[in-house]
Amino acid sequence: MARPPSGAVKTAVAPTRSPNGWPVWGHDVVVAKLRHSVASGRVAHAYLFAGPDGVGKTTLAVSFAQALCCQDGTRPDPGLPCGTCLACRKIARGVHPDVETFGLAAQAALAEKSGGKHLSLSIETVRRLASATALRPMEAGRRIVLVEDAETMQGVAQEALLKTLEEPPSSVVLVLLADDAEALLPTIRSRCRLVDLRPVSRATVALALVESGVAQEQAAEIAALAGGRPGWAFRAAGDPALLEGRRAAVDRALGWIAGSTYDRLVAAVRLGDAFQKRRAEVFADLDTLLGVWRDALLLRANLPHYLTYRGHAERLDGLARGWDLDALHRAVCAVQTCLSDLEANVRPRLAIEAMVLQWPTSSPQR
Amino acid sequence: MKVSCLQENLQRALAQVSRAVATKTSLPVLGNVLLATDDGRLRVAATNLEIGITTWIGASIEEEGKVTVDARLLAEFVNTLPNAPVTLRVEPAKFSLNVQSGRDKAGINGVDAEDFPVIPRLEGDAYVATVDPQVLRDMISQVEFAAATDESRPVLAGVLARFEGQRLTLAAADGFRLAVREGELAEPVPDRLDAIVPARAMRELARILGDQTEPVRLAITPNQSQLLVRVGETEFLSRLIDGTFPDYKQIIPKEFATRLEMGRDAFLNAVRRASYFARDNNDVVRIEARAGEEEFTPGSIEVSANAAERGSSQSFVDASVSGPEAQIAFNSRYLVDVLGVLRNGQVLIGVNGSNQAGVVQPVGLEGYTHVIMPMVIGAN
Repeated sequence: MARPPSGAVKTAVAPTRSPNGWPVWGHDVVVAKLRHSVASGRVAHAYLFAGPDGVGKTTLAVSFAQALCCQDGTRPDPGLPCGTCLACRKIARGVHPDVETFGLAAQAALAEKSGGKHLSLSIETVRRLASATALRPMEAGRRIVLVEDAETMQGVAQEALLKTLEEPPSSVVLVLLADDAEALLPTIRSRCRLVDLRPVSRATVALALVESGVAQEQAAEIAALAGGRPGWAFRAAGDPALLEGRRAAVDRALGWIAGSTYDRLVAAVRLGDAFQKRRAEVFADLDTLLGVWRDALLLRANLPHYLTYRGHAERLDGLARGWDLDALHRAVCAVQTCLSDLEANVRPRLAIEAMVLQWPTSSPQR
Repeated sequence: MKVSCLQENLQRALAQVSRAVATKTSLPVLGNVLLATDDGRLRVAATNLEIGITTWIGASIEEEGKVTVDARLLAEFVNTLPNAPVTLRVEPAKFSLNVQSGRDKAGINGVDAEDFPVIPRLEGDAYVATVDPQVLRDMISQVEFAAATDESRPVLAGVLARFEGQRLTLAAADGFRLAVREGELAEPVPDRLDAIVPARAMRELARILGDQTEPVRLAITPNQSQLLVRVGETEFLSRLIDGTFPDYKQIIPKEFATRLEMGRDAFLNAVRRASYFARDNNDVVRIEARAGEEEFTPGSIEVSANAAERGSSQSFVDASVSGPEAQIAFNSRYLVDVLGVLRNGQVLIGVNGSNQAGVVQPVGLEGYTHVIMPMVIGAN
């Protein structure tokens, strides 16, 4: 059943139409290609939109669905949905019967007992999808089926989806959204048109925010923190708590690297012990840490223009001066090694401690 | 919107559409019923996106408008009202419905009617055929149970409706059995047309046909996406399944080596008796046909089942057997299903050896064929 795409930007600050015609900022080449395929009527039966969380996958998919279902027959370019007809409005609100979204949120809503954890798309959801795709459209000429969180599907669920991908009904366009295309079976990837969404340039994200009415200065800060993810930027612009949380995370990371070797090790042990229960948070913290070390390296190299955490530049600058470029580079490498070790299931405490011990000592060398 | 109608009519309409109200859905509006003024009447509609039911009731309309509200809540409230006029009112630009009858009133919060799916109407440009409602109901009941219940092949979860000339054919199959029933249309249709209707929707349609006597009109929307059926003051909608139904005619054997004819009741009883023993042995019942000893003595068939743990049973049914002696094994549930929908009378079973599909047909009644794949008979 249709349901509001949960990944879509739903805040007070909504994206406006970007120069590429869709309310999708950045990804101009991708949008141009999709617009052309709608306009020329050469639409593939399955797409795979891949890119990090917040990069614009759902927004892109919603715009694509609108372009395919728009009822305004008089629009000059069929690849450009009017945005005002009943179909366009219904799709934007997530209530169009022919644009159905299957994802972790929808799965949780339909689950027998509420409150259960939904960490991966289940085979039942895939089966529900298969029987739903078998039906002819209700209102539009086509049916668009969005599969959010596709990367969370386990092997059996992916194999069940293969059947639908192999013999899709003629009226259906399947759009898989995945944070990581590599998590999907090669047989699934090869049956979809792969649309790779790369991080969007900082200037574009800032412009997108300014166009939606965010003040210039705030837009610049958010864009820097967003890491090329317009979706995250819009969420942060509408939700001060998110922005505050990010700032606090940077403060934590700064405090960590400013501490003595002993303090660093204590923090490492604490983080290592938290890993099992709050895996995602620990990864996010280490990611922030990586950004902070990178910023320190950039500051030391006199390249302040590329900083991620501008707001913290002053404090970081004081720290960075104490170390030379080589030491900073080693620190960045150490964090990266730690991240890949954790991915490879090295004992978390060990991996994080080993990282900390490779950092330059906090007593300035001067 | 401001409308008044009789409680009785509203209650009936709400009960009628309630079958199409979605119970579990991620699109909350599907749990609602649509109330809309329509050409001097009140239109009541519900859909779960597989089927949709729309009905019209007489009402005096003071102000046009539409709204959707929770179907269950409205029905529950209306059901308990006295049989008297009910006023339905929606303030302009608001989505809450005021229901009033005498001193009883309720305000039910609703949703913008625009969010409700557009339910297509039976209009002139659709493909239309007319059929007797009781014939159609009969046809559905004899076919729908053979459709697949698992969704691994969506096409088989549906019933094929083929309009051709003056004939309507319904067919359903699940890979182990096939049911085909032909019926007459009131007038010939111009072109052949196939539509695959979900079996669940077919059952719902049979229920709506009830004891109707007026001919019903069947239509397929121009984009071949929905089946619309007009039954009196009610319109039933079913979405169609996308795909091509397997060529079922290839599966039906043209002739049989051995033909068994017997009374349906006696045979059904024998199969039921055997089925209790077959339960622990994959539902296998064996049928063994023996010709009469002389030309004019009747033959008989033995219906037997055995389960190693539980025991065994044998029953004998008088039958006229033509052709060589034969034995074959079927799934008892399939036999019970098909014999259950055949009327009292004689049934014919056609067999071409124990590894070939068997056919069940009513004797003396054209147009119904049921094919069942046999089960493997062990060395036993």
